[in-house]
Amino acid sequence: MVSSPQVADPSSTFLRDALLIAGFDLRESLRTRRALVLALLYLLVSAATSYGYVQVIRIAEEAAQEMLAQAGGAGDPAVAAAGVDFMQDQGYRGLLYVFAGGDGDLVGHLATYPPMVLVFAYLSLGFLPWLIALTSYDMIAGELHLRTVRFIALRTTRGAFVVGKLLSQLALVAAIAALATVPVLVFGAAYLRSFDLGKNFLALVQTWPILALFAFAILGPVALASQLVKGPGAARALAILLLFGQWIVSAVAMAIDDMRPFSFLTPFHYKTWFFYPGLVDKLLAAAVCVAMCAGYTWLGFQIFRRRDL
Amino acid sequence: MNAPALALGKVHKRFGPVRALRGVDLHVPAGSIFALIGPNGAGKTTLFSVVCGFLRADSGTVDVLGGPPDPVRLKGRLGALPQDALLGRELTVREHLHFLARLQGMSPETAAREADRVLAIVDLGELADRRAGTLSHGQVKRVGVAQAFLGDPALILLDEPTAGLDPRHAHDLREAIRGQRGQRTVVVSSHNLQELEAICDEAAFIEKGETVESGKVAALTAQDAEIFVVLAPGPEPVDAVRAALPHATAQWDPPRRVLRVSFQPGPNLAAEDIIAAVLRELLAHGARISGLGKGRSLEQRYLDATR
Repeated sequence: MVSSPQVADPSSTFLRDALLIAGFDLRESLRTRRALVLALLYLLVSAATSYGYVQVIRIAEEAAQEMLAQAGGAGDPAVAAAGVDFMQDQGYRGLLYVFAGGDGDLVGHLATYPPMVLVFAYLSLGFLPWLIALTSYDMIAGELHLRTVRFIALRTTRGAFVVGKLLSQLALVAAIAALATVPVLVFGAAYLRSFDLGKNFLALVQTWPILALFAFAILGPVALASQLVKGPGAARALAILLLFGQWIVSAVAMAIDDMRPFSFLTPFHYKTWFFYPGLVDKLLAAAVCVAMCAGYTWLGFQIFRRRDL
Repeated sequence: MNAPALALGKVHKRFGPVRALRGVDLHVPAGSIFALIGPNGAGKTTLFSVVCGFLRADSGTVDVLGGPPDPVRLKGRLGALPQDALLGRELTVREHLHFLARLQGMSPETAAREADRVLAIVDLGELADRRAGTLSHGQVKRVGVAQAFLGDPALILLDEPTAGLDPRHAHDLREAIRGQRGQRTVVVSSHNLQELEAICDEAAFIEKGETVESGKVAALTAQDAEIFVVLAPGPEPVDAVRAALPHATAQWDPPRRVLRVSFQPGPNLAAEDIIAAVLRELLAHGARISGLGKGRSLEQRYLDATR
């Protein structure tokens, strides 16, 4: 027999237990199809985005070269290349205006990112919420459904359980977001004439925290849904519904000023904040994402802490 | 007098229109092996869940090891086999037990040793590295029992621990539970009353969410206040016994051919004295005896109490 330790400090126990639960859950996720599915889905999105981007660039290059040839500049390759780059740059800046919602300052800053990384980041921020909703919806509801939670609830607090589950999902999504940057480098290096591998790699390293923090914000509403209902199916439907509702609110708020206050309650409102040049903007965006995760999770916990397991 | 390991007072729990617990009272002495007996739907599992903190009682008092069922306070002191809980499918048995032991506050090394120790109790050492999802129902139950024994809990709750086990493993588990007597308190629920009678010191009958009766098994089964004799076909000198023992009550059950004699035990009157007197009368009148015992079975007592 071993003597059971008398737990003196509940806060250190809380953190220790949450990390233990996160580690165990992560290990289990890696051995199930959950991690594989999420990784494949995200790699697919990343690969499709990268492939689509290089194809668009190649078509643009061919079209530009053809136009320059017709204009008589094809005799000098350097002139032709410069012309192609100029035309691409003009088209890219137009695209950035769309991304930035017409904010000139932001366009100027966005233009410092390698285009392929920016496109990857922007599309990832669009897809990530739905991938998370589809793979993390049962983080709590699944354990409630099978009553696996009872083995844990006997040994630690429900709060430590929820935080552990959340940390596990965050680590999983963050790792997979990092993995998904690989196709960008592979496709860019393989197909693009002027792809700077080092510059793009560094830009991806800078972009990765943005994706991780945004994932944090998205995990909040998903954790809320997963704590509100017991069945995994209901949790999935609720998570998607919740995120879709927030996405609609955020989109409508761009057009209708009266809706603007509501958009502050959605993670989608903050996703471009990370791209503003100032450090304060980035820190504020990070803080808001963490607060959003904590807030929505806390809301769900008010139900979960009282519910029968 | 030692504080009870578990004390419930007037505990109520309702699920919508269903009143699962209707004022259960329970007093489980520390160090005892305690049986919780009742039919399906009596509220045993609900009661266990309330004690473990999985469910919150609507009203009443729940005192577990001297306080409310708080997982931080009870960390490592309360072990339980929840009836319907499933383990995750992908990780191995050893990984599950190691994780749960770590959650109880053990170091990695201690947790590893404990996992092996409790697996030996349920004879699952050779399946330690199997994925939990590949185990049979009985094996899963044994893993559930094993995790309840992790560490050194002062109180263990086992909800139907032998249900679904083969006879040998059921026997081994009974012996393991019996071996806990005096070291810790074990509360066991089961439909197998013979099993409970063999291993438990105390028992409570639960019926429709209420405690019908509780006490020491020896008292409930009247070990000191009743004897029975089974007669083979032949003479049935019941009246002679009644005449010889005017202060005792003799009941004859013709279909089962069982003669029950109940009496008020005292300093000069033990069950053995009654047995001698009854046998003397029966043999003197030519009766043929095919069985003899003290008290009545827990099952019979339960049926009497809940009839």
